[in-house]
Amino acid sequence: MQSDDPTAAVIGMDDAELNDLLTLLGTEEFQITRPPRSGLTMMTVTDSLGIDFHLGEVLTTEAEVVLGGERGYGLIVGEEPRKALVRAAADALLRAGRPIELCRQVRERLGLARQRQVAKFAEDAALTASTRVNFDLMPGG
Amino acid sequence: MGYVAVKGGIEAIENACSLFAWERSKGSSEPLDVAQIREQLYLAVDRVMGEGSLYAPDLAALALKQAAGDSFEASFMLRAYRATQPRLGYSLPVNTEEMRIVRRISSAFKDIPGGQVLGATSDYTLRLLDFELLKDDAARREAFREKVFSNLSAEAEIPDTFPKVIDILRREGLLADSLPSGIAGEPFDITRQSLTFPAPRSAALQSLARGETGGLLTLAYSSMRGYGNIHPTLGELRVGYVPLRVAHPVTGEPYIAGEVKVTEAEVLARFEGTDGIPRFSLGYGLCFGQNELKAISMAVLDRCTRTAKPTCPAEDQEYVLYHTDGIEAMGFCNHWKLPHYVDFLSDLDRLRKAQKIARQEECNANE
Repeated sequence: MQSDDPTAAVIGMDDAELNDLLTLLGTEEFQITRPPRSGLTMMTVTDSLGIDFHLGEVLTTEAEVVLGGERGYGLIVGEEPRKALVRAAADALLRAGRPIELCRQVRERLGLARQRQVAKFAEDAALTASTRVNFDLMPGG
Repeated sequence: MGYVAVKGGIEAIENACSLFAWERSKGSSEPLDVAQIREQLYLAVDRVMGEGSLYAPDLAALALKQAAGDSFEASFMLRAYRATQPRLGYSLPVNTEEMRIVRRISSAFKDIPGGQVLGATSDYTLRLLDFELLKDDAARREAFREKVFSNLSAEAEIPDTFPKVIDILRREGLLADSLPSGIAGEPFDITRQSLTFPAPRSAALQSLARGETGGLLTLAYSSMRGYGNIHPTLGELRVGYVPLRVAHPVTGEPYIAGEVKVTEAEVLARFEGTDGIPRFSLGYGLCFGQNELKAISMAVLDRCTRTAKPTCPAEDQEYVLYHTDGIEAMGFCNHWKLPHYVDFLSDLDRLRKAQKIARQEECNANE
């Protein structure tokens, strides 16, 4: 799952990582403009003939905050109110770009979480790769 | 006999509901945890999400527990739950080429770019009961984990994404890609608009994607056995994760909210183009979770229902779409259990009268 958005690392965070980030962000005065609420995001896909259709709905949680006039948005697959709020806060903070030191720390935490997730994906990929077929041609074929 | 309208039975109904909940909890075994169902019965969870048309693994697992394992009831609960939730929005269209693959095979070509990757599958098991599982404990699991990871080879790598097998055919001009004009544009949403026939492609695919696995399989199997003229080859089957992406409300940039597990099938069938040149045509299937029978059946039925002159039920779009929704089918079947005392009394009356008339006529003829 490639993303340029550093806050995407919140998606796969475990409880410890999330608590850590929440504590960091808690030092700022965020205004929660939309408390986390669950709802449905209709998933649209493009079929192999280039036609878009709706595959079905995905349970998601969204939240919105404001920090220093900057709106932050958080949307996460699943019933994840804390993650949605943390992601919205990180989004607002990183776009506001200050306090600089806090931004650096938040980026660092997000980076570490991302690294752990990438390593997990690599482990899954290695297991999948072990099931790749190597065909042997039969004699006389 | 008079009119037999009835009311009452509330107490009996309430007790019957309690008795159902008691029936699944009265045994001596430990209560099932929702996480156990989600992790260890994940294919059942996937099926319920697909048929309930709601991707929510925890809720699907809860529904299975509450329904004592009945997949129809569990899917129904998910459909009912979605009706209580606000629609936050639509995702940006995702292209399945960017799927993070966990399984991918082709029955059309031996050598495909990226290779045949079997992934986690029961396809090659002998379907013999594994009595070892009766002793499933932590030690056994740890030993199994070690065995699985010791088989890993350092060189074995898979690419982040795989090219589509059908692109090989497309490049050689062997695939009929053109669809009748006027079907592109905003996708139809069957949760907001009623189906009309002929249904636009987007509506048909949305209906099939939430179809009931057994229903889709039955109709697709009828076609495979020869009730119809489609002879499909499985071009590609993939299982993996695709991102759920929306437009960020502030920046407008694509924004990933998480991953969704899906199964995709593409079948190929011979087709005579309008220009008289024979080509392959494509049938497409995609559904939530890992449900390969469903994705393949959907792809076969997508292709069948695009036949110019339907000759059998599986090729009739209205027949297929109206009879494969599990929730509607179970609802109608279940409604026969509700009191039909008045209807049946009327049937009885008419039958008695008809018998009387028939006997009278027999008597008259004999005189």
